Amino acid sequence: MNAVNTVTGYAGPGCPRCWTRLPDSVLGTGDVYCGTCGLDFAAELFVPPVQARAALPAPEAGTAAQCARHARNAAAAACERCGAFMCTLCRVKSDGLVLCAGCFDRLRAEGSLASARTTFRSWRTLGLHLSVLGLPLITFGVFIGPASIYASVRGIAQGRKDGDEGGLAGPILSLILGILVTGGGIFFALTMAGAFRPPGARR
Amino acid sequence: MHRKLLGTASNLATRVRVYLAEDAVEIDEIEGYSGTRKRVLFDEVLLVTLDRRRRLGTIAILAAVSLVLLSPGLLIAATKQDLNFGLIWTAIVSPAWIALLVHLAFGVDQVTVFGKRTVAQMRFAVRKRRGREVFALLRARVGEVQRAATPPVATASGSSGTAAA
Repeated sequence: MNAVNTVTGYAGPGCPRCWTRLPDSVLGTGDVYCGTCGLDFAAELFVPPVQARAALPAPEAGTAAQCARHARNAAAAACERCGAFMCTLCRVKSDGLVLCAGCFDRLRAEGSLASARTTFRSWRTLGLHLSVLGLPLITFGVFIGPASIYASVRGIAQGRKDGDEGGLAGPILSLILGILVTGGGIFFALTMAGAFRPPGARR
Repeated sequence: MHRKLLGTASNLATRVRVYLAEDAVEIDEIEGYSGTRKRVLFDEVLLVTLDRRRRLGTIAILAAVSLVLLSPGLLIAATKQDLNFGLIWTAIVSPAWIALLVHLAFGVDQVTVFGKRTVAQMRFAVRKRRGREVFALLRARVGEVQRAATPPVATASGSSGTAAA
């Protein structure tokens, strides 16, 4: 995916193939032709509502500007995103930006701040790969199978925690393959153990 | 918190899954076994697009695979003057060149959501109707959220209306 996702690198809405910035007058027509790459596409342009800013009380003569949230604190900086005055308690420095708490929460929720980005381990991918890997390596099934089952169960739990609707086919398939791989590994191990039984014990 | 899978978009290194959450479009980018989650909030969506394209990378890979699979059999058929063998070989490796022809004929539908700082993309190679449904769903949902978030303003006659943002 050609996702342009850094705060500094994103130029704005435009062509979804060559990322050429297009004016709103062109995007608003509905059917757009990009002159740069020749792509025809349907577009729906939106104008997001402007967030209302709380009116800040005018500072008294001879005094410094006040923090927007703590009226008795002098403002130490202005938020680089919304412009609100902040005291030292409210000020958050992240990824080279000075932000108020509200803007920091918003950017963190979007994933725009690299240092605050939500990361996770993809247990479903791990479970699927282990279960598929276990098929040709059935001789090691007693190790790979249980690992695959564990990862698949974690993947199912992760999906439930994230609130995913559906999407269980992959982890369930991994779980089934993991059980088969485990069974195959145990069968192989028992077979090998039987092959090395002392001659007197053989029938 | 519930979220519904809208679509996926993947390349050789990264798999992307795009979900519809209550207040945003969530993007899970998975590279290897670790993932990163980003969101495009509905009230910050600027543009949603739907396009159909033929991807050069896909065409190149399918063409290369078709060539690699077809050439040995066709070479043998040409050497031995055996047309039947050539036809059978072509039929055996048909998935590769049929996939190439289908891609050239029908392309891939792609839905893109532009936020203020983040972009989400989804591809629909086979389920084109699903792509159109997702496009319509996103248009409706984003429009609904942004209209609800726009504060009403009083007009000169005293009645309230929606402010142009």
